[in-house]
Formats: sequence, structure tokens, C-alpha cells
Amino acid sequence: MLLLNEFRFLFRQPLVWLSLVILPLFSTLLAIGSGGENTDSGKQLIYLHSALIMLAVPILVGAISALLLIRDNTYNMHALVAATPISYTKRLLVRYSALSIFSISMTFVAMMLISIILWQRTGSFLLSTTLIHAAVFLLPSVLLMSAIAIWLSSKQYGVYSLYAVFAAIWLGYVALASLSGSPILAGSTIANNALLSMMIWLDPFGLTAYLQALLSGEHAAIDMQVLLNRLIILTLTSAIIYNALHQKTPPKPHSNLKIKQPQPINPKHSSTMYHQIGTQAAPIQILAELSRTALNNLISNKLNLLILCGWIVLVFSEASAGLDYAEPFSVVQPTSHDALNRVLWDVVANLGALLVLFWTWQLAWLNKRSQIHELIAASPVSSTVLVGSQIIATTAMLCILALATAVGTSLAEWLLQSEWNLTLYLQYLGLAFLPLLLLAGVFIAINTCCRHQLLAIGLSLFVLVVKFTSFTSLLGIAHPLWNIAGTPMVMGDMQWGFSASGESYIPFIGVWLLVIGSVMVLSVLRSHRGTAMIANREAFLSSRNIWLICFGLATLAVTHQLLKLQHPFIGFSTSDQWRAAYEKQYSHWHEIPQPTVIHINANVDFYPDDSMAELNLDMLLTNNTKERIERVLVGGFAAQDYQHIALDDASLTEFDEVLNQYQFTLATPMTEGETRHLTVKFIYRQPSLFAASMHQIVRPEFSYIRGIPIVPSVGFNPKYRIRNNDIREAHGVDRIPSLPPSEIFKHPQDDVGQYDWVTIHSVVSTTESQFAIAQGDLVRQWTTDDRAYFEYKSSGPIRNIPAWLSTPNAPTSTSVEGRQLSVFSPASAQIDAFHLQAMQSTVDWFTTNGMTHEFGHLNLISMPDIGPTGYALPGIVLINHKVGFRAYPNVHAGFDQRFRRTVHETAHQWFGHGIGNGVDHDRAFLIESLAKYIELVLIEQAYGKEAVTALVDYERERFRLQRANNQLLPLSLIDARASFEMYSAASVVFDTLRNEIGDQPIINALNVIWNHHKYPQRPATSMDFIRALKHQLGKDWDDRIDELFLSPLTIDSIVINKSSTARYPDSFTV
Amino acid sequence: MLSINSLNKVYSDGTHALRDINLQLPTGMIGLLGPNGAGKSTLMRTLACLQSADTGSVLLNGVDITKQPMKMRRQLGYLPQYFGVYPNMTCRALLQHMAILKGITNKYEQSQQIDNLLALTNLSEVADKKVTAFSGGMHQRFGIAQALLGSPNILIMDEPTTGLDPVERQRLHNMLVNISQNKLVLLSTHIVEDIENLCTYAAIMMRGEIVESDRVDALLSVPARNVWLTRNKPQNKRSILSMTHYMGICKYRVMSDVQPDSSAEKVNITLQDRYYLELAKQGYDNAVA
Repeated sequence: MLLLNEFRFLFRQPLVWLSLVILPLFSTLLAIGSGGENTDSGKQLIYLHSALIMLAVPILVGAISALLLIRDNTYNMHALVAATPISYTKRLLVRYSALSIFSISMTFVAMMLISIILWQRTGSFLLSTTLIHAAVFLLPSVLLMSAIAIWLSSKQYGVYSLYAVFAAIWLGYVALASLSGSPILAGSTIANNALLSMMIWLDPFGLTAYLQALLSGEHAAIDMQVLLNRLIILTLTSAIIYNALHQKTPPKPHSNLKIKQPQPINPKHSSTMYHQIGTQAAPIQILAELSRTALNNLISNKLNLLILCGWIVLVFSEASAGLDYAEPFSVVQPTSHDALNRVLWDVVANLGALLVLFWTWQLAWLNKRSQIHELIAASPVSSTVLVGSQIIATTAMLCILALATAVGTSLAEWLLQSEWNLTLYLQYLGLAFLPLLLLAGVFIAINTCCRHQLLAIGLSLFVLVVKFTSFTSLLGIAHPLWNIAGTPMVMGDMQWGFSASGESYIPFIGVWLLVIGSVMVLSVLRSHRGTAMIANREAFLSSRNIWLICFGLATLAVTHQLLKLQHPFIGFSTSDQWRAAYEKQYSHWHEIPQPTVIHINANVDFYPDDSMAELNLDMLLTNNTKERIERVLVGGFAAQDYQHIALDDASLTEFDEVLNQYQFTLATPMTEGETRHLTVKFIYRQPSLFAASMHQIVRPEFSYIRGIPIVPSVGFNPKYRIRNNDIREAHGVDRIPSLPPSEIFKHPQDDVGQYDWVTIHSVVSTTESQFAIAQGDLVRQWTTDDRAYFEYKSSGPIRNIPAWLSTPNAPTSTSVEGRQLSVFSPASAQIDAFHLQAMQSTVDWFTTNGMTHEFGHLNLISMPDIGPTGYALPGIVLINHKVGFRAYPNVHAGFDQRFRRTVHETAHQWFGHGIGNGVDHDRAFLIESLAKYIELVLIEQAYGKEAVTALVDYERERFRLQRANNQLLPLSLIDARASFEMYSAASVVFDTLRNEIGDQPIINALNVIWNHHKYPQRPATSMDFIRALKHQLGKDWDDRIDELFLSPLTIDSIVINKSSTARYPDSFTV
Repeated sequence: MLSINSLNKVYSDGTHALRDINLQLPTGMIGLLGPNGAGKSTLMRTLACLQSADTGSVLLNGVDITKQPMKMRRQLGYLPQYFGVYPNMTCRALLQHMAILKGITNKYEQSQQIDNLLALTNLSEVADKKVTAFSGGMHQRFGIAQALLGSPNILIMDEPTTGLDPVERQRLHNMLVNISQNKLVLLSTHIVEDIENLCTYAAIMMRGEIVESDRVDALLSVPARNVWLTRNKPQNKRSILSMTHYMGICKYRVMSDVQPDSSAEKVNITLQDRYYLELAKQGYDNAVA
């Protein structure tokens, strides 16, 4: 009966109903947002259930326990309840039971939902696993959390303290799990073995012991460690409950009104008379007084003080951890850029938003909470002034938070002897905190007009969910404006500052000022003045309100249109929709003979200061088929606008504006070997409302235009299709059979695909102070009309990925056997020379080993921090400024990462842009995995065997962690898709193979596929390499080669290094 | 001074809190009587512009304050039935805070008025103590002090004597009488005697309606009826106005044209008798066993 009574209370509380909605929604989002093709459903279920338990249980128990256990004091019911004939122990136990039963039931329903969603996706319903997870992990965890809650309530802690403790448990657990290498949390590593041991025994959720097996490549199981952990937790739970129930002194009620002896009446005042004094309105002074009181209340709140102190510690810890980190084995001399970038764009942006929500909520309901709301609301202070005081107080708190951030990062900088820069601090903090202030405006507006606290919190949290999660993407309505009060601003770097996104900042801030401003005015008109009662009889749809709503909506609509002009795929229009429509409408062109591009004559004019470039392309097409070509399809991706597009001897018969496809009909059909010119003219303008991204950027500090996908393609372009089969199905296009290369190319075959190579001639102009770069050899450069011109010409065909760049950095060059190598960077000549040396070593190695490749000059360019750390195009290598030009080896590194990176990207001229292209169904083995092999060889050559061992050990550990983290089924090296397979596993496999057979058989095999499959022969497949290698080694090695290259890459096979028992002869023949 | 016209309010749970309220409130002290849940607090909050009515208007010297609430707020002193205070603020600091909100920004005037009100409410000695630490009576006196800040023309006080000891209660009465000469003081209380002693006008409210409103002396003149005090329970229970006890002995106040029994003695009619009469008319239980 008593228990039922508790549930009767619970189910009358809005928070409980809110949790009934949120928890299942959260679990559904978790389940929907993970997995896909080739997912290990058992492993996925373990991850999802573990994530749900660790993330949801503390929050659920914390929220409900505040409601259930502290309600007597919160609502001044203590005396009434305490007077009932139910013992304190009994009352506490009943409430403990209600809390536990409710939390267990709710979380179990959420776990079942996950299992059902996976069941629908994979076809296997893992009921027994779900029940085991509930019994072994959920049950003891909830019992422990509930015990902590009743202990806190028995010690008379208030609601805030309880929330603070559970928030600390939540955050603390995530931090500890991350430091003990939890495979659930991306990026976690084992920081300390003692911590790991402690977590195995004392993890409140028991997940560390359970998931340890996955880190070793085994299946997770309920073993003795798990059971002991659960036993310890249950014992601890019992002890906490015992302590809570056996207090020496009975709990006393909290009361706002402490009864004291009444003050004696002072007779001398008895005759004091009341005199009238006139009043005068002084809004500024009233605003100042209200703001001061509001700020005092926030600052004097102990929890806020704790948060601000904790903030400094958090920022310091985050900034100092890895302030000088560039990449493994590599560090930089840190600056304020690095320190501020480490905290501002994630810690400050995300946690800062939560703090803003908390503070604005505190301010909005301060009067109500203090029960002074009616006095304040009845005073002659306008609602505008009341709201204004909240804005001022929040602004002041944000300034304090900014100061706390600056203190934390400055301490970290001082500790690591970083280059501290005040100007950068002012710039970065201003840019990062202004959006937080705008967000505060949204929350203040919500609280001002929302009469129910819970609804106000719910709406504010919904704003955060929309802003920070992929919720809208899941609904298929991704849009930059869902980043409420946000801007596309991305972190600045030392090469180009905020050039990637700085231009978009002011327009977005302006838009949000107008929109949030009108929302705030509307909320002031609808203000309940802190009373939670309606004080305004004006209809919501009054003309004044309608004007405000229309103004806000019109601002958003205009912004949407401006965004749409710069980026076609926002809102309901997605790239996938375009791709699916393209495939549905034009895939039949795949069967229609089409000419191929064999030469590109390009005139490219960069205007970096205006963020634009003009491109004039003359493409020579030829008919390589035996059939006559009468119609030609020429199309651009999405909405790339072409000012001019014409085909010789052809008329434009159809133009599909939506899919940007042009259909030409030739006056005279093209016969075999015949050629035509396709001329295209267009302007590329850097979008000002989006952050710059690869691979089209035109900025004064760095300009780079890759032809794909803005240069039109001829015929149906299969690369435009959606690749993910689940997404294909969702958009109504057939699945593409995804057989692995090891199956497709198991046997030698001729029809595997064809090379798409062209010769390129480019004349590139830029501002006089810059250098333009293109593929091929630089044959001429001159200056006319304050512009610098550069003419490049490829000596032979290269892979058809044209690219043009402009950089303010002068080149440092060297020449190797007629091939010019150049480095364009803002770094010192010494660093440039180091890269030239690495490039030269790589080129030499290939030349020495008989793999000649005529791709012309090779240019290495420093690129700002815009995504990849390295990227190779034919004849061009881009390397991130931080890792390539600021970084240097740390004291423990046996080699230089800059050398490894340059070798890797240079090797792509052979593996990737030599062979490794032209075969649609092959994966990245011939590109990335072979480049990893070259890394090993050249690092050993330059730094010795120990350096290779250090690198391979690192790659092995990286593989182990990521394999444990990954829910996809393991693939072989040939079929690898994940980066940790094609990179890390490749290093380990090739190192193992080198140790077993040496380099020569591998080089011989590479020679075979290079010489038999280089352009214009039939392109190589990854299985061609396997066959060549097996041929080199003889039949005895077939099984070993299959084991290394064709067996699934598991932790067992990679981390637990197994050597072959086979012996390889000392000499061999090609 | 204040004209209430056809005021209606229905809460979302269906409670009809105000039913076509029409009242003309002149300057002076006006008492509002009614049982719990009669709608007194709703009416007072509506007059204080803290919540809106569904229909109707409230005119303050001709200005509809439901549309221009600031006109009311600039002249209002309000003491709600229940109120709290900010933590960590002394009595003087909180009065200062309220004074500024009421537009008293001149430091000298502020200080003078606060000192005056502290003395008037007998809080001078605890002016620098935190209000959260006050006893119930002191807390209430603080509420009265803040209501009087700024010399409001209209005072709305919901149960102002709650928690006050007899002397403090008397002091408040004296003060209210003193300040109500040219102001409107609207007083809501369950202590009918207070209204009878203090107010010139009174209104009786039941189930959201004003069932009687007039000068207090007019309310007391019930035509052709006498009130009797007797120890014997009359046969006609409907004639019983109220049952009270004196030193443990039960006594009945009976309304009757004739003497109900020989021991019954005729007494003067009080506002409480009139209030009980209205309760009986509306079918309320008058707690007569």
C-alpha cells in the first residue's frame, strides 16, 4: 500500500511523464544512430546497453530522487509527514524501493527498445542477453545510485546538492571510463593501469570488467571479475543504506522561516507616524538595482561558486593535457592559439551552453523560488526592465566565465611555457562567448513567457538538443539555422587565422540578433513577470505579436534563401536526394556510348582577395568506342553554375536545371578515334556564409580548387551515386552488390575497369605577390597587369583529377633526375629542406626499384587546418601546417613524423595515382596499405630498425583500441574499409611480413604489378598483388599470405603477433 | 477610485474563481470577507495586476488597469497572503531593493522612508539581520513595511495580520486607520472583527461572487431581526448563526424575531453575525454540531 502510494505520487509529477518520453526517445536515437551494413549485432547490443546504463541511470535516478526523496522539505510538508505513524526507516525504505523499481523498469524498457530496434535491423532478437544485462548490470547499478540518493536525503542535502552529486557521478564516471580505456567512449585510452584495476573491481556499473574482454579481442562474458565487481557493489549498496537508516540524530526539517523569539516591542516607536514620500520612476537605476541583486544571487550561490572554481580546473586540465601535442611522437611549441582552441569550441561551447541554461533558469525563477515574486511583480517596474536585468546579470556571469576560461588556459600556457598573447585571448573569447550570450537570450525569452518551470526547462533542453545533436539530421532536415544562436565559426589556426569561417560570423550574429531580439520582445509582451501567472490579456495573435513573429520568420526565410544560394543541400534537400534522383534519371546513359576526356586546356584566374576564381576549360573528347556517338551527356554535380558550356558541332537539346545535366546532340556523329572540344566557363565563388571546406577554397592565405566535382563530367558518372546501401534503399534506389575485392578479383580477369587519365595544360594567374601551382612541369612564368602568370604542362597523361592552387608562400626547390621538387610553406627554409629530403628519398626509392613514373614536377604545399592532415593529388601533395611545419619529434620519438607523412603522401604518386585507380570495386589496399609499407622501408632506411618497431607498436595499439571500439565485423587487409584496418593493420602486417621474408620479394611483387598494370595497361587490383607475392614466394607461403592479407583482422591476429613457422629461402628469382 | 466591472475568471481546471464581479471602491478602508476558496485572493491578485481576468475591466480613476497595468503598479502597495524573501539579504537591504523597484531612488528619501517604516513596523533593531532568519511575525511586519514603501495610494493586503501578536496587530490597525484617510486600503481577512473595527465598507464574497457589499453600518442593519445569545440549542437549527464557546461552555448566537428561550439575552448584531447569515443563505456549513 505504501509503495503504491509512492507510485501514485510519482505518476502525478510532470517530470516523471517527461522521463517516460525522453528515455525511450534517447534509447531509440542511440539504436538508430549506430550500426549499418556488416555490423556485429551482439557487440552492438553490448555497446548500446552499456552506453544507456552509464549515461541514463545517474541522470534518471538523480532527477527522480530529488522529486521523491526531498519532497517533504521542498514543499514544506516535513512536519505533516513526520507526524504520521510511519517510522523514519520504513518511510525511507519504501521511497528507496519506489525509486529503484521505477528506475529499473524505465531503463529496462529502454533496453528492450534497443533490442527490438536491432532485431528489426539484423533479424536476431537477443532477449537472453538483454535480460542478463538487466540483471547483472542495470539492477545493482540502480540499487547503488538509489542508495546514494537516500543517503544524501537522510543527511538533509537539498535539491541542488543532490543534482550536483549526480552530475558529478555522471561526468566523473565518463572521465574515469575514458581514462581506463572504455571501448564505448571514442578516444579513450588506458592512462594508468592502477586506475584500470580499480575500475575493474569498483566500477559502479560493472562495465569495465565486462568490456575488458573486447579490448583483448575476445567476446564479452560474465566472468568471475564481473561477478565479484557486482558483489562488491551490492555490499557497498547495503552499507550505504544501513548508514542512511541508522542516523544518530533524526533528520530535522528545512524551513525558510526559522522560528525565533519575537522581538520586544519598542515603545518609543509606537507613536511613529507614517508620512508620505513621493516616488519617481528611474528605469536605469531600477535596472541597475535589479541586475545587481540578480548577479549577487547568482554569485552568492555556493553551487555557482563551485562551478566557477571547477570550471578553471576543468579548462586548465583540458588545455594543459596535450597543449603541445601535434600527433603521436610529435609536438609543437604551443601558443595561445593552441591553448584556446583546445577548450573554446567544445568545452566552452557545449558546457557553456548548459551553464547559460542553468543561470538563466535560476534568474528567471529566482523570485518565485524565494516566494517574493508577487511583491516584485506588483512593483511599478516594467517587464522590459525585469528581463533587461536578467540579460545584464547573465552577461556579467558570462564575462566571469570568460575570465575563468582565460585564467585556466593561461595557467596551462604558463606551465607549458607557451607563447601567451593577449590580443588572441580577446579575439578568441569574444568570438566564442557572443553566441553564448545570444543563446542566453533564447533561454531568457523562454522562461519569461513560459508559465510552467518544467515546460520552460523542457523547451530550453529541446533547443540544446536541436543545436548540438544530430537530431535534425536524423529527421532529414539538417540546416545551418538549427545551430540556434550559433555561427559556422571554426577554430582558427596559425596559417590563416579565422579565414576559414570569419566572413560568416558577423552575418550570422546579425541574423540571430534580429530573430532572438524579436523573440525577446514577444516574450516581454507575454511576460508572466516571474509569477508563473498570466499578466497579459492581449491575444497571442494580436497584430503587434503577429508583426513580431512575421519579422522573425521573414529574417529566417531570407537567411535560408541566402544560404540556399550558396549551398544547395540544406533543409529538406539533401545530397543523397540529388544523387538518388540523378541515378534514377541518368543511369541508363551508362549503356550509351560516350566520349572520354583525353586532354584539358585550362585557364584559371585566382582572385584571392575577392574569394573567387574564374575557370575556362577546353576539354578534348575522343570516341574510344567502336560505336558512333550521336548524343553526349555533360553534367555538373548539384548546382554548380556554368556561364558557358558548348560542344563542338553539337547543339544543346535538353537542359535539366534541377540535376544540372546538359544533353548535346551532335550534328555529325563521332566515329571511333574522332575528337571534339567541350568548352566550359564558370566562376567559383567562396561561400561567405559557410566555413570553407576541402576541396574548393579561395582565400588570400590559401587557394585550392580541385576539379572534382565542379568540373563537368562526360556521360553518366557512377561516382555521383549513393554508396551506402541502407541510404540507397531509403531513397528508392537498388542496393549495389558489395562483394569484397578478395571475392570479385579472386581469379585473374581482364575486365576490371579502365584508367581515366588525361594530359593537362594550365595557365594559372593570381595576384602578383602569390604563386600559382598546377599539375605538370612549370614551363613559363611572367607578370602582366599586376598579375602573376604560371604555365604548367604535363609531359604525359596523369590521373584525371585536375587541381589548381595559389599560395603566398615562395617555393623551396630541388631537382632530382630532371624532376623538380618544391615545397611551398610559411615555415623556415630548414623545414622545407627537410621535406624535400623526404620527397627525394621516396622518389629515389621508387626509381631505384624500377618503378618509374612520369607525372612531372612534385609540389608539396602547406595547407591550413581544414580537415585532413595530408592529401595527395597527382603531382601535388598537401600537408597540414601544424603537423607538417610546426611539429617536431618529441623526446621519445625515434623518428620524425614529418618525414613519415611526406614519404606517405609522396608514395601516393605511385600507389594511388600510378596504380590503385581505375578499378571501381577495389578498396584502398593498393593506395593506403602499400603507402604504409613504403613508410616502414624508408623509416628504417633513415632512422633504423628501432624506429620502425616503435611505429609498429604504436599502430598495433591503435588497432587494438579501435578494433575494440568498432562494431563492424572484421575484414581482411585486402577488403579493409576502416582506417585502422587499412593503415594500422597494414603497418603491422607488412612489418610481420618483412621480418619473415625481407623486402625483396615484396618489391619484386610490386615491380610485377607496376610493370604489368601501369597506364595504359589494364589497371591493377589488390588481388594482383597477392598473386604476384605468392608467385614470388612459392606455394609453401600461400597459406601464410592468405592468413596475413585475406583473413579477418582481429585483435588476436594483429595484436598477438604470430610468426610463421615456414622458412623462406635466402635467395629467390623474379 | 477603483471601479470593477463584470470581472470574470475561470481557471484551467474549470474553477470559476470570479463571477461577474462589479464593485465601486472609494477611498478609505474596505474589507473583503469570504470563506476559503471564495475567490478573494484571485480578486486581489487581479487588482494587483498579477494575473489577468478573462473578461471585464478595472478602472482606476478612469484608466483600465487590465490594459495599462503600470498605472496601477505605480500607486500600489501589495502584501500577498504568502511571500518569501531573497536569501542572504538583510531587512534594510531588501527594503532598499524594493524601494528602488518602486522608484524611490533618491538616497536621502530612500533612507528616510526605510528608517521610518522600520520604526513603524518595529523592525529597527533587526534591520541589519537577514530576513530569512526572521520569526513569522517579523516576516509579516517586513511584508507590511515593503507594502508601505513609496506611499502608495492603493494598498491591497491579503491577511495582513497573520502571525502578528495582539500588540502588533493593534499597531497595524492604528497605522491602517491613519493612512487610509485619503487612500484606498483593501483588506482581506478571516477575522471579521478586524473589518468591523477598521473598515468603512465591506464586501462579502462567496463562490466567486460578491453576495453583499455596502457600508459596514448598512450591512449591520438587518431589518426586523434580533440577535440573541443563549446557552440552549434552539429547536430551529436554521436560526442559529453561530456556535461559540466561552470558558468551555457552549453558546449560540441566534437570529430570531422572538426570544428563543428565557435564558436568551438580546445582543447587538455584529458583522460576524451578518457574515454567518450570508454563509447560511449560500448553504455553507456554519460548524454548528
